[in-house]
Amino acid sequence: MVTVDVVVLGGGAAGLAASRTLLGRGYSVLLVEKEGHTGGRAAGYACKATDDCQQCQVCLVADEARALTGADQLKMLVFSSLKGVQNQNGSFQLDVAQGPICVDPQRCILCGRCVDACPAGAIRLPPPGFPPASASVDPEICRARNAQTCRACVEACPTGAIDLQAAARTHRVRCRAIIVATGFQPFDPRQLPRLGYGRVPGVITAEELERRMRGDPGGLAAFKRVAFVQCVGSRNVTLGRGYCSQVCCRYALRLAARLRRDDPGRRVAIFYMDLQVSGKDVRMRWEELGRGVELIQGAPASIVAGEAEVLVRYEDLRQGRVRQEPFDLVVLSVGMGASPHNVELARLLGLNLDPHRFFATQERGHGSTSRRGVWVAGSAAGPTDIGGAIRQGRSVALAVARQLEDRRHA
Amino acid sequence: MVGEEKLRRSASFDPEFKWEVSARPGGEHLKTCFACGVCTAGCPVAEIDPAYNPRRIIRMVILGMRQQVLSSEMIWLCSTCYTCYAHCPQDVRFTEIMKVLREMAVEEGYVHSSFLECISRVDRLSESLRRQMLMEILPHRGEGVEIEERDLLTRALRNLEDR
Repeated sequence: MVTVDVVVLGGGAAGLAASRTLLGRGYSVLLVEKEGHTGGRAAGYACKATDDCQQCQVCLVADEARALTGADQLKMLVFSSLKGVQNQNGSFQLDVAQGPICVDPQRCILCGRCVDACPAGAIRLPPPGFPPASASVDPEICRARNAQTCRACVEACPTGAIDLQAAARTHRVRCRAIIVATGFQPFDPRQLPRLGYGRVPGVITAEELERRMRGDPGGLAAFKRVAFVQCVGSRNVTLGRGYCSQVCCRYALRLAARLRRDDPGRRVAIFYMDLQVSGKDVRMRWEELGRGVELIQGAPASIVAGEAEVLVRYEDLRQGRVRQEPFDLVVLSVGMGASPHNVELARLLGLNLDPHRFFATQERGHGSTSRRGVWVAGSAAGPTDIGGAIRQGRSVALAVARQLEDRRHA
Repeated sequence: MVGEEKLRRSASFDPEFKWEVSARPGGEHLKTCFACGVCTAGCPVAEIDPAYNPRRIIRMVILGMRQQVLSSEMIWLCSTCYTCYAHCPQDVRFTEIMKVLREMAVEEGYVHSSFLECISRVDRLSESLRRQMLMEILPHRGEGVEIEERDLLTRALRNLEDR
C-alpha cells in the first residue's frame, strides 16, 4: 500500500505543473503515467524559435519536469493506468495497474545501446529532462515481436539494467485527492479520406511535423513548397466536432515561421476558413509570424497525389475560382479531441463527460468536478494550449491544496 | 467579375429571403454556412463551369438577392451529386437548398412549371448516356483503352436511339 496526499493521473504539461505545485507546498504526490516517461505529447514537439523566441511554450513543459528532479515526496509509476477506485470516508483507495518495468532506473545510464540493439524498436530513451531518467521497453511491442527468445538489449546493456522477465504489477494506493490530467487525442485525419492522409505520400499531421522538426530538422530541407490545412477535425459539425481547438492556427503560424526561417526560399502557404489567433502572444507577433507566409482563405476539398507532388484543390475565395496547386509537403493541422480512455476513466471516477467526451468541470478552467476530491486540469477538460495546461495544473493544485488544508483544520 | 459588380450595384436586397429559404424543408441549415468554399472546391459542375459557385449562391441568398438568385441560370446547373453535402463542415446541406431554390423559382414564376419535369428528363437522359458510354468501354476494361470521348458519345447516342 502506497499512501500519498494526491494522485495525479497523467504526466503531461498539466500533470507536471500540478505535481510541482503540490510538492512545493509540502504535499506528497503519486504521478501515474501511461507511457514510459513523463512529458506527454508536448515532449515530442519542436522549439519554433526563428531568430527570436516565438513563445510556442514547448520548453516550459521541460521546465516543469526538471523542477521535479530530486523531489523526495514524489513517487512515479510509468506504463501505468487506473483500474479501480473506492471511496472511503473522504479518501480514495485506488488500484493502479503497471506494465512490466524492464529497465532498472537506478542502473540505467541512458547510453542508448539497448535502443540501437532492439530489432523491434520497442526501446526508447526519454526526451532529455523528462523523468524517469531511464530507457523504457514498451512491453507490448517487445513481447509481440520477439516472444521470449530475443535478448539483444540485455546483452547490449553495459550496466545489467535490463530484465525482460519483469512482471506486470498492481499497486494499491491511498490518497486524499485525485487530479485527472490525462490530456487529449489528436484528430485522426483518416476519418476524412478526401484529404489523403495515409494514402498520399507527403501528407502528414502537424504533430508529425513537430516530431520531424525536433528530431531531424535537416530532413525537411527537400520540401520547398509546404502547405498547412487548418480546421482538420475542428469546427466540423458534420463530424460531431463543432468546436474550435484553439491551438491549431497559432501552432501552424509558428511552424510556418520556423520553416521559412530554416529556408527563406521555401514557399509556405496556410489554407484556412478563418484564422483564430486570439491571445496577445500571437497578436503581438502577428506581422512577424505571417511574414512571407501565404495566408489563403479557402478550405481544400481534396488532396491527391500528382506525379512527384501533392495537389491541393481549393476555392480561392478572393477570386471565386477553383484552383489546384502543387506542394511537396502538406501538413494537416489536426484538432484536439477527447482521449478514447475518458469514457472508462469517467466511469471509474464517477465523473461526467461533456458532449464531446472531455471531462465536465464545474467552472471553466477551475477544474472542480461533480465529485468531491476529484479535479481535472489541462486538455482533459477541453482544448487548451501548453501555457493554459500549465496554468490550469497550477491553479487546480492550489485549489486541491486549499481543500486538503481545510480538512486538516476541520 | 465585372458582371458580378454590376449585379451587386443593381441588386435589390430582400432581408426576408434567407428566412423564407431556411423555413422550408431542406433549407434549415442555410445560415450556418461560414463560407469556407469546400463546396465549390469539390463540385464537379464548378470544375467544368467556373461561373457555377455554390458558395457564392449561398452568400447571395443570405444577402437577400432574391430576384438575382431565383432568375439565375445557376440554380439549374446542380447535378445533385451530394458531394458538397458530404464535405460541408457545417452540415449546410446545399443540395437540399438547391431544391428549395428551384421550387421557389417555379412558385414565383421565374420559370414555367413544366421546367422541373424538363430538368428531370434531361437528368435521366444524361444518366442513360453515361451508362451507354460506360457499356462501350467496360468490355475492354482489362486492356488499355484509348478513349475518344466524342466517338463514344456518338455511338452511345446511336445505341440509345436503336433501342
